[in-house]
Amino acid sequence: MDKPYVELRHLGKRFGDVAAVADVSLDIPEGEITTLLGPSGCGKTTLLRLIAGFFPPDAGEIRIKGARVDHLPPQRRSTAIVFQDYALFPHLKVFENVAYGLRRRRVPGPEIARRVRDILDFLGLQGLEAASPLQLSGGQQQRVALARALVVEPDVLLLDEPLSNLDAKLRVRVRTELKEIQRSLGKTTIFVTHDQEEALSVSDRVAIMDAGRIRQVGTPVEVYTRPADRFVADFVGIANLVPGTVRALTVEGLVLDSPLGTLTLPPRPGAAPGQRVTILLRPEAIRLFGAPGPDRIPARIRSTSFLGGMRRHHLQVEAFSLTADEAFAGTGDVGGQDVWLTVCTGQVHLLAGETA
Amino acid sequence: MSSESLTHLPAPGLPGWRARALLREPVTLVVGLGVGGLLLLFVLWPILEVVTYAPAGDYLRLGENARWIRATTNTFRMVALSTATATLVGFLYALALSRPDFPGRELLRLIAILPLFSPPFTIGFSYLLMFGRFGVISHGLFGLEASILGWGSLWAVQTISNFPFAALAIERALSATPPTLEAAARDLGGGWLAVFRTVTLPLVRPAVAGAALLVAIYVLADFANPLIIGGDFPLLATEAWYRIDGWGDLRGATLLAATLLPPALILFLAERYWVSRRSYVVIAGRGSSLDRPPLPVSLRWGLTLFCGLTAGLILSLYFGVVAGAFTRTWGVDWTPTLTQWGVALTKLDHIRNSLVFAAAAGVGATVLGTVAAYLVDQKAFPGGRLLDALCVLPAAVPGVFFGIGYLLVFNRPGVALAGTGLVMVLAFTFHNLPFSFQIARAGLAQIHRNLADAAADLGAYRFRILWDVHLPLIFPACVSAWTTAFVNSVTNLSIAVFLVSGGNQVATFSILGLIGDNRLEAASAVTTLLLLTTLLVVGAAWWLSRGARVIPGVLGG
Amino acid sequence: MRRWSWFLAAVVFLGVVVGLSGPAGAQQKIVIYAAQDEKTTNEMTRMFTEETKIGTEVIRVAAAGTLATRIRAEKAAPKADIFMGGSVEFHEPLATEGLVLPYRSPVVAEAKIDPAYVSPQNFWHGFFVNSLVIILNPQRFQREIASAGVAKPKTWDDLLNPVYAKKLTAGNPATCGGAYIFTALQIFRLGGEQQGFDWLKKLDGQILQYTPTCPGTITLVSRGEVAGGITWADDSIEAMLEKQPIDIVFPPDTGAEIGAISIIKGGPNPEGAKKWVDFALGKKAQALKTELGFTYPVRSDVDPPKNVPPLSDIKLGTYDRKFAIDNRERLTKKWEAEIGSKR
Repeated sequence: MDKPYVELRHLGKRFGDVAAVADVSLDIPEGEITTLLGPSGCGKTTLLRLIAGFFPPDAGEIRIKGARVDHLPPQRRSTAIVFQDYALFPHLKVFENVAYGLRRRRVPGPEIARRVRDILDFLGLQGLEAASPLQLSGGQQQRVALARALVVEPDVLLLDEPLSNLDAKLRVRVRTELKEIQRSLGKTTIFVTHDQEEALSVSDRVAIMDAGRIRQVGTPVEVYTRPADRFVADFVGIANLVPGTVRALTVEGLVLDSPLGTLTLPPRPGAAPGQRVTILLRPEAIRLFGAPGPDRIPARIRSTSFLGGMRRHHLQVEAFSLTADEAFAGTGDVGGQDVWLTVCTGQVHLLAGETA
Repeated sequence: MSSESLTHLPAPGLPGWRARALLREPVTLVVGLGVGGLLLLFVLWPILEVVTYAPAGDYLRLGENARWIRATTNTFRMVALSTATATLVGFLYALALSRPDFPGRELLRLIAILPLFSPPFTIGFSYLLMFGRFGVISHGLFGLEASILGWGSLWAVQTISNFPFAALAIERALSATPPTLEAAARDLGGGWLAVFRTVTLPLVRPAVAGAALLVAIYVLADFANPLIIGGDFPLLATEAWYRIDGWGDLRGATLLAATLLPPALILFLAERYWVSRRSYVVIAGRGSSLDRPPLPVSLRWGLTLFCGLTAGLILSLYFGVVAGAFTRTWGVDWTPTLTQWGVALTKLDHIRNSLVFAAAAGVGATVLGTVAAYLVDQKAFPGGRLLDALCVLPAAVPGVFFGIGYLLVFNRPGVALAGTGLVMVLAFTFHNLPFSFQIARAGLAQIHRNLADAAADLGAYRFRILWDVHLPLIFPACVSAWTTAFVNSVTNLSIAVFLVSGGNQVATFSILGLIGDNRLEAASAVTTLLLLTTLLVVGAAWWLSRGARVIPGVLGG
Repeated sequence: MRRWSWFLAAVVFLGVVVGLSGPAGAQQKIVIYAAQDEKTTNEMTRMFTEETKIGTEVIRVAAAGTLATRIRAEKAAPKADIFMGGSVEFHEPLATEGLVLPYRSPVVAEAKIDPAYVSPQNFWHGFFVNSLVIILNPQRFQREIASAGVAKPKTWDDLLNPVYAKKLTAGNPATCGGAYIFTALQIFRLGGEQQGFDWLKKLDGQILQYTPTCPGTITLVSRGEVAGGITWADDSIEAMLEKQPIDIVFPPDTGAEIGAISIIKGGPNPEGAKKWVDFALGKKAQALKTELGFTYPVRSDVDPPKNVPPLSDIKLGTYDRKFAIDNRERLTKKWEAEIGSKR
């Protein structure tokens, strides 16, 4: 990438005995949405707040556009944050909420009026200048918070779980809108969420965090199809993990022995016969059949969830529990409790080491 | 919802970070030092002066004075008795007030808070008029002729004067216990008493204990009621006054005032560290609006009767005060007359002084309390715990103590303040600081941390945030703080008595003088006038604060 | 915007208060601490200002102790010029502590005021004399005492009649000066400390309640809480004239207080203070004080109050003031130990 817009170098932050952020280094490119994804307590919000400047790091540096900022208070940084609960000033009208940052920067009145009006129009909030934030819907409030952050033209936009307070349906719609807004403005954005579906759909790049550290950085497709470790595999999507052993490296590819039969994968370097690996299969990589056949492994369906567009089956193969998705074609299910499955070997990913 | 949306991130771990952060915020540093300096000067210094005035040897000889020993045991006896009954009555009253289905509870509430607005001797004074030997009720109605002066009457009067504190505090706690809890218990098979005993009572126990401890401090420091109705029942607070009034003995007075301090501090600390820490956070899930189950009928009638009688008693006492203003000689010559009001009008500038000083003290206490609460709430200042302690300390210090302390401190050469009304305003300000501080803190605590962070993120510095974000949201709390300080200052006697000066007399002092001159009817008139003007001002303040929006915190969160 | 206006209003208001409460204007004046009733004080100061054109600022309380305390507390920077009222028992200790400016008014020689009424070291000038009396509630007396065939009490010893058991009140000598004088009086009257205390113990059996302040006894008697009591003549006469139900008896062998005025050392206007002393001893002021205060004047050319036996008729019992003052601490402790705490 070109010179990264935001650079985080070996950032560390402790609270008491706990290291909320430990040795985090990350480059954030300009004009993209970079998402920090991880479970509760992984440090993503702490990291975001470090970038915003709410407290200084114990170790490491933060640079924005090449200049060190980690000693600056939030007032002096060119970042703007949107909180999960929007934090709109309840005693100010929408106009004054949005104008707040501009007023603090002593922007002259007429220019404030112009810029506020423009951003409200841009976000579809025309006519709401005189409304009280308390009178707005959740979606509108979120957009006002966004307007407030964008109107000061920050170098970096920080979004702290902005969709968590919305209803499920709204969430999906709003995240699409957010992406469109970001695209049209070209604003470098850092997005924090614990929802992997959200992260995958919105981001240009995703950084998975756990226990204060970054486990993997990559595009959504990368982290989904080629997770760096068990944790990432498990967190980003549903992971079927089975052990396997390398039998041989042939001209056709890598041959593995596994409970799901003998699998022949595209060749890859670095493998040696006898090596133990962990095979990662996503639910869509398993095909189900109602009858036995060549290369088909028998399995037992324990339960099935109907998810609208597909059926999700929970299978048992020997000692392993697997999840397989089957597109719903409008007709009855595959029938019975006994099924047979094959693996789409093109969609298999290998993780190093033993299955625990 | 992610649990990472923390309302208050814990303090960052590196030692000294706060001090270093402070250097980057010169304004905060200056303000913090200023507030600290004021507290040291106006809270700590007077206290130290009083405690060190009498030589150490005097303290050792305290035990030699039989009367002072009696004063001490009497004081503790009254504290135990009056606190117990005031809390009990307050509890029953609170029970009634917390039930939405209870008839006339707003009226009951209004009546109950009347004692909070009146000069401290009003109840005692009126008690005498109503129940004394020729009192309207005891003699006029029942034909009794019994002397009522003494600790028994003091007990009754202290109970009536103090139960409102307990009632209001406990009512708050009772109302805060979610009805769903009680409903769940009933659903599981509990009768009313069982539910009350096993669910409601344990949850409000900290609040009840807290209320009791605060009432105890008031009884400990009670000065005005024993003067009027205690007869010759020695108590520490009044003995200190008698040393001064009867003998001019400043040494003895400071000694006695100082002995009040340890028990007051103990009660105070007990409330803060034992009771407050144990307040229960109720895990009740999402709130649902549910009406409270109705009280059992017998209990309802019993409570109605009890509260009705109590309220009736209070009303009759106030009636006594007002009626006294219109008679020539109470109990003897019932000719209605307006001459007493003529006397009251000559005291008009005393009343004016009372109102003005109290209003100024209210402003002082509110401003200082809000700034200090802000510093502590934001953890902006390294001495935060010390600041907190100093702000709340005056609550443990009896008024007598404060009065003597200010007298001693502000009469040095070079101190221009002495003898001016300003000293009294300062004394009232700092005496009431704990209330305004805690009210402001409670208000600030309700404001989600994110609001302040959002403002900071957008470019506002520390005190700008206070001005832009916190103050508008806690305006009702500020008005409440002002009103509390105002009422406490207008009705204060124990401090005023030591700090009045030539042109700066206040109404309570005048009233005491009139009572001392045996002109009880004129005293009634002035008391009534004071009460009316106080209620007028408080009403105006309440009306003003309702105009301001009451916003319970952050949106969406 | 609204916030600024609130803030401004608060600042302006505070400024006004500070301004209002500052020390009064620069007109010549004296500051008086007066332990005296309001009416008398107002009249005296009015008259004084008329005569001398010097203004007055007065702090007035009913009892002298607060004022003495004030003076002690202010000793590093005295605020007052005059301490007026309260018996000599209050002024002497202040003088001993060096807080008083000695002065002998020329009026003393002029009016030939009895030397007993002036401090030999010129620390204070007596300006009234007040005696201890017995007061009775006529209704209760009639119903409970006279109906038992007992006549009105004439002497202190009459009060020991069992018919008065638990029907009397008196001040507590630990807290009020007049009661202490009464206590000391018994020692002198009966010829010794032991005899005095024996008598006081007998009296104690008659007392329903001791009042912490001296005027408090009048309240109790007037309200009928007790049948009779012991207190100062001036307060009693005033109450009686206000139509409160009080009968007064002037026993012989009674105690008296000399109400004094002293000049506070280091006060703002010592010259004005001296003028006040001269004024208070003057004929007009003395007549005023006698008329409004119901006390005896110290000048022989001023009439005593009406309704009251002349001072010469009242045989003031022997009273060793010096002994009383010096032994106050000890005797009140003894009273408390032997009588007060036994109740």
